[in-house]
Amino acid sequence: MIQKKVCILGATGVGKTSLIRQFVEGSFSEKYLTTIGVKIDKKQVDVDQTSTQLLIWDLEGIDRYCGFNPRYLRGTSAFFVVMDQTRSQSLIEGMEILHMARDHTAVPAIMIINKCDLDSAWHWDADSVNQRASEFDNCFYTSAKTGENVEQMFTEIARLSLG
Amino acid sequence: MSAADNDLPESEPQASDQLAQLRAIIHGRDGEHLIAAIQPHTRKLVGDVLIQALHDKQQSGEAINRVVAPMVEKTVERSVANHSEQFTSILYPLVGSLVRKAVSAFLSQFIERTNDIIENALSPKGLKWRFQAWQAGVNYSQFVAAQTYIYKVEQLLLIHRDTGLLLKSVSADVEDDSDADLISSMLSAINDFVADSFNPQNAEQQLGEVKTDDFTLLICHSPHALLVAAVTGNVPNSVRVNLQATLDEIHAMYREDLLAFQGDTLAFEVTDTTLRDSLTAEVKPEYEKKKRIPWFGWLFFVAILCGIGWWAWQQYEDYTIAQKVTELNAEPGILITELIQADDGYFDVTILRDSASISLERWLREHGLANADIRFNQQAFISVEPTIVVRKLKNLQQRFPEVAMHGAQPIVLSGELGWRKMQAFNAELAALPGIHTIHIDRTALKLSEVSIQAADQPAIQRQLFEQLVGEISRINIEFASGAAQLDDIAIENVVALKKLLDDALKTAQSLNLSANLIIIGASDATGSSSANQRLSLARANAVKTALINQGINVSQLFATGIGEINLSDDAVATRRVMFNLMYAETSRISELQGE
Repeated sequence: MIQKKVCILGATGVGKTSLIRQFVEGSFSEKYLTTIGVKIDKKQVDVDQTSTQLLIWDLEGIDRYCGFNPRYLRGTSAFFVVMDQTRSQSLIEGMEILHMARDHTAVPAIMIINKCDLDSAWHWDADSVNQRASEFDNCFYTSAKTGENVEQMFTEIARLSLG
Repeated sequence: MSAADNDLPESEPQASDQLAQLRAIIHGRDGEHLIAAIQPHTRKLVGDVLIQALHDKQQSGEAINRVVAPMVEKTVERSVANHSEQFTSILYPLVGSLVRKAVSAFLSQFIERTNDIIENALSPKGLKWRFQAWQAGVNYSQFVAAQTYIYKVEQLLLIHRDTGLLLKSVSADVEDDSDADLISSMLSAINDFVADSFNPQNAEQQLGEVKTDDFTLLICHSPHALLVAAVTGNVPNSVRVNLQATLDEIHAMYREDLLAFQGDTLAFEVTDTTLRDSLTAEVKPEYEKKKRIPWFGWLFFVAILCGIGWWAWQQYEDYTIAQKVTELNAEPGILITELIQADDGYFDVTILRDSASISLERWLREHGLANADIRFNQQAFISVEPTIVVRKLKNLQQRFPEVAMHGAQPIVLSGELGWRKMQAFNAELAALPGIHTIHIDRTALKLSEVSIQAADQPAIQRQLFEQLVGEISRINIEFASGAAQLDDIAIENVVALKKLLDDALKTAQSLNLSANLIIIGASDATGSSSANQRLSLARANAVKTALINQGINVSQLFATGIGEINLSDDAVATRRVMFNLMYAETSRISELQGE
């Protein structure tokens, strides 16, 4: 079986840990617990009849003052950048994180616009979002709460990891 | 000292340069001339030294085994797959001794392990350790390891340095290590954290050891891999040295695989042997195994053998009892309908039993089953087996001491009885079930009472005659559907009928009666009435013929068919021949004939 390391990045509170919990355990909690350092989970995904075990590195929330430990990105096969469509700043933060990550790795990246079960409140028009999404290899509108597109985003990162 | 000598140090670098130039000319660029000169002879040169080189390498260490062993294993595997028949014929003669050796090794290992388990579980030391482990709140096996070993390498994780992915995991005990991949990633993350947090300028800053209450994690580093060992006890420095050497060896051998690693760990499966060599342990001197007889193991083994022997003996005994009990079927008047062994070990035997058959206690005693665990469930039935009928006749005869009984075919009844006793005896005799299946000669049975009037004698005989008439009318001969042939049972009944008829005709003669047997054939309602009419007559004629063959005078037999009898609920009852003995006073017949 092939193993792949993937990372999930994003600003604080965008729902990175909730997306992983929804994918790995199939559950969602309204309670917010901040991730300290890094948390690692695993799950097997089948892509085109190839079994792939994803080791998912859930990195703590990144903000513009503290940045993140680039060593965690070492050896990753692909990564997500998660944004929160209920916060206007989230898109800018997400793009900054992408650029920071690009200083260290050129592996595929996927844009995740999370919390789509809530009304959009970030006042970005579709063109602006699409323009930024074009810098990624793919883009998903997801909800960790309802599970919408969660399975698909992980299947896609497994596919991109396999190259 | 000469001038030439003084010049030497200055000329040395010059000479050295010239020598290098000369060497470059002779060798060519990157030694191409040299390689070109050697290449035609490479095969011979390598062939000459290959064996010696392998031998020298083998002598210097075991590294060559680790390179060669996987290649040999693969080659043998492929060869066995392609030439299985040749391998079978080569290995066939060895199989016997291999099996013997394997069984003997298994037994020896089993006894030793059992001995260890019993000793640990039951010995004072084992009990004390269990108590102490419970007090300390740790697992017993961990406690034993801590007590017994100075140190023990429990598990090894080979981790890809860049990705933190687990390449290979080996464990001293066969336990589930399904989370080893998560542990590997977490250790890499912690290592990254340490490198980033404590000395960010120095990239070589690495985590070397993690200590917990129960174990120590030793982390060895190489440029592309980490080797992590979970060690219990006090870890001597030699363990770290050994682990680092193992990692260096793996790194040297699999450098290319580590560089090209894309998540497929298959290439690292062959590191198993190398890693297992590093699962070292050191037992405390006082717990080193001395060669001694494993008494507990042997006792347990013998106990198991005794248990198996006892169980086999029980099975054999049960089988023997069941076999013997089935012999009960051969006893007259007894029929086994069910034989099962209950959960409590008892045999539950359900039987049909005639009261005249042998008593069950006596049968059990005679067959050596008096103490066997057998329970009988009896249901009464009346048997018409000749042995039982004779036994009942004997019982009857014993109640009439004046009657003697001897002979077998026929059974002759003799003696003298008073009129009333004769009457009672005859009545009981006639009521015996199945009495017609045996041949009885009653001609020697006489009336003794002299006081009886001569006229009474015919009266008694008349009564006897009427009893015989009644018995004859109770006989029926059954046929299969559509058949008019007599089967074996029917012939037996004809024989029985003939005996009664003989007695009746003799008695009729002495009473001056004319007697004739009417043979009435019948059939069921299946088929046409005319066919049934013919069938019923054919049945009656078949019986008539059989009686003639038995010696009955044809002039005293009259066969008739009454056709079908429509009894919808019992067709068998209608497929039969019935009898009626008709008689009349001879004088009356003469009168009628005179008229």
